[in-house]
Amino acid sequence: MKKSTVAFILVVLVLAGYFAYDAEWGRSFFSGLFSEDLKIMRENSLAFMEDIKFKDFKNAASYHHPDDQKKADIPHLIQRLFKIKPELLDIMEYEILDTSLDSTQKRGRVKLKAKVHLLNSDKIESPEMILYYHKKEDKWYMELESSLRGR
Amino acid sequence: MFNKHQYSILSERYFECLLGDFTALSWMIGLAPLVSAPIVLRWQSFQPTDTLYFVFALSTVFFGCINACGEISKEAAIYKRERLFGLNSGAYLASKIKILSLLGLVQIGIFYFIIERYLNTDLVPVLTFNTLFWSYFAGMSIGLMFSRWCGTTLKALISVPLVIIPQIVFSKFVLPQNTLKGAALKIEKLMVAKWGFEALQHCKKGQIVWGDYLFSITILIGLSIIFLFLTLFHLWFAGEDT
Repeated sequence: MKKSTVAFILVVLVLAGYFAYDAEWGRSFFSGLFSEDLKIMRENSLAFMEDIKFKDFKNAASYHHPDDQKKADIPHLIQRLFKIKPELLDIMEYEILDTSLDSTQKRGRVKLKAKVHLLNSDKIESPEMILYYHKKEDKWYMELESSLRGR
Repeated sequence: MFNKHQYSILSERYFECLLGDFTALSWMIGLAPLVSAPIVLRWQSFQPTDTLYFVFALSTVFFGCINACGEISKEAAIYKRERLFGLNSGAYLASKIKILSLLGLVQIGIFYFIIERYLNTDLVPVLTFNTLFWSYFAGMSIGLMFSRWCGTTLKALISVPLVIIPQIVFSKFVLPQNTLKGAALKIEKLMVAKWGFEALQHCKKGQIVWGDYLFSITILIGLSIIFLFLTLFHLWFAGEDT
């Protein structure tokens, strides 16, 4: 094969690799290669955000520990975090910025960035939030104190 | 007709020449971080604006134009001689397109990496890269056209501002869009940075407008084909002349 063609293919492969890693599924795949725990937390966080996006609060509560599920008032949490009623919140996009575990490997956190449309004021905001996880009985559960980091 | 064998040899020769001139190659690739640095400094603490997207599109048009503007004119004598021995114009132009596109992928890759790393662009990554690449490609097509039609490298280099300044003058950032009337309105439609900018506007995260995005990209590709055809026409014409 000609040198220029090889160079072309290499450049395209490097770019494809970069974009694959940059994409949500790519990061999830690569983090899953190194830690199954990180992969689970990422998947749960994305599923949680999807549930909120489609206002499936019952399913959104299911990522919490069974003891906490009844206490998990997701619509109230949303109202507290975004200062808006859930029905006036349109989650347009979300992405994971960072996933980390502590030294004991029993606690983790996932930092997310969302793009939301506040329907009552027609404003678009990009809040960041952190979802906290605890490992109990060999399973990862979301903690209720998950909080908004900034706007 | 297109000669594939010649295209392969010419691409290889051009690639080797480019690698041989390491200073020029470094300068070309170095343009990407040099141009992205002031953009990052200016917008680092601000939310993305339409002006930022326009600067992205304009920068990539500039990369394409500056990379290509001397590439045919500097070989004018060689081209003329090789035409006597049956050089195929299409293969010659295609070899330029291939290697300059490769250079563009590297340049745009570095440019994109820096702006994405340091700025909040609020754009969908792959679509942004695609737009920046086609803006580069359109700029490269204009550069190749000037390189051929101007005849000498110096004239072609001097012509670069003639490409870049109208992109700014006819944009909505100098005067409001509704002030464009008559001929100015038609000229504005030929501005490749405008279409790159519009494509970027339509690939914001969570707000992708596929129809408008694809329309802008199609126009960019269409304009590139027209500029390349004009280049090829001049290459043919000169070939007949010898």
